[in-house]
Amino acid sequence: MLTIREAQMKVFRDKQLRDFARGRLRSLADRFPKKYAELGEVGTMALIEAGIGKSFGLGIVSEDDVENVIDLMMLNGEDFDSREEFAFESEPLHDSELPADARATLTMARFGLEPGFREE
Amino acid sequence: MGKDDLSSVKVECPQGKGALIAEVLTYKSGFKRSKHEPLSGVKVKFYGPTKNPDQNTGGNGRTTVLNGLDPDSYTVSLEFTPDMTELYDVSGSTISTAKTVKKGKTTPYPFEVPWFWIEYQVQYDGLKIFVPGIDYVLRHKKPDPVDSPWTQKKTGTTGLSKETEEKVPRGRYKLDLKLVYEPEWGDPQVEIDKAIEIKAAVSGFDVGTDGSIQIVDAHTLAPALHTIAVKVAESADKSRRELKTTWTPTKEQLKDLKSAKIAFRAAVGASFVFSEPEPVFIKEKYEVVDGDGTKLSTRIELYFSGGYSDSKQADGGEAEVLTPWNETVARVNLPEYNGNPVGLDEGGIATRHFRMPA
Repeated sequence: MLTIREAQMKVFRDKQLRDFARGRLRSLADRFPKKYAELGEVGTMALIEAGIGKSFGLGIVSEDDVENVIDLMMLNGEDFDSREEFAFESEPLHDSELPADARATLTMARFGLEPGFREE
Repeated sequence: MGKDDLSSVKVECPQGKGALIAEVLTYKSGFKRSKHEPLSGVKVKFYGPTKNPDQNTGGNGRTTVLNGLDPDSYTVSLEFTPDMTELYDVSGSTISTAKTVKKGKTTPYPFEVPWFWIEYQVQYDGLKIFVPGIDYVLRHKKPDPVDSPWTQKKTGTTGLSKETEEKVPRGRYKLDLKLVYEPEWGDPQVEIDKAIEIKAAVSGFDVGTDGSIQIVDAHTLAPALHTIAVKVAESADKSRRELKTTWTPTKEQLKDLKSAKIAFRAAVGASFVFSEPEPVFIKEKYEVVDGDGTKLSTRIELYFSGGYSDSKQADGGEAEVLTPWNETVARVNLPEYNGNPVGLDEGGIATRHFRMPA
């Protein structure tokens, strides 16, 4: 019987996250050229990592949903979900009565955005 | 491996059922990324293997979460009240969506239905300068039936900015400025005791609204020499509204006219317009006789003090000449009698004598 130890699982998980983050970096550079130029590769990667952390903290774990959260951070700033001006839009993210896997999609909808949107 | 779950590489044991939730939002048509708002009171219908009763969206625009759904394709459709279909672009929106509800997942069904809006501004033609202080009527015409009447939606006064009306009923809109414009005389001159048509275009005022046409001295514009009460009416071809009357001027009405020209002031409410000045003439009869009192049939040329001249054929010693109001004859010629003296006896003025050119 094959037993995967916790340490081995962390290695797998870290690799999965690195692959995800690299994919996000390429996508953001393509879809948000102005913002990417402003942040640079290092700044954009930091935003991606912050986005992953924010998502996990909200119970949002699916790739698609985490991508959406990162996209919203790229567009509106890392702290968009705590700013008064976006209180209505980001309400689903913090609505504990909503299933976690519905929150990011409904937040995107409140911004009038669809997955994969581009910088204007 | 749970590729879809970034937080763990563990394979989760999925529950056997799925869930869905619908949300209906609205936004300003044409501005998809503008501020959205929840749309409550929309009936939401669910079609799929697991039956669920219809729901109405709540204050946050959402339905409750529908749990316990057998994984499969589910269609969510919206149904709007008649009032909502007037204010929101239902026909131009996606109001039915089919998605696959997966095991252990909640599938969101977000819908967007934009609201109708209008904006209007009044600026000088070709310039970006607002024209303030003009009363207006905003009118609306429903799209169905096609012969729906124009109804008044709002009245106001133009200001120094663009006006916007949000969530307005679909249809056509027009902004009628309350104006009286394009004054028009029916003839190039006014003649005493001869009827003349007077009219001016009107916008923003309903048919039947009281108006007035005042006849004024073109040099002083006040007080009115004569006033005619007129109501706003449709023009004969129904293309516009107007103030229109036919007036037959009399010497009595114009007795206080000091100059030789009159204008009219067409007014409805606080809006008015002055016409161009129009010369006033009065038809005078002249006796044309020789020194013995014999009636002549000859051409007569009259030159008036304001510069106007006329030439008439006297027949049997009489000639009818249009004389400018308040002007006197400055000179008279009888071309067939050139070189002879001529005397002019004009009422109220001492007889004058001229020698006609040779």
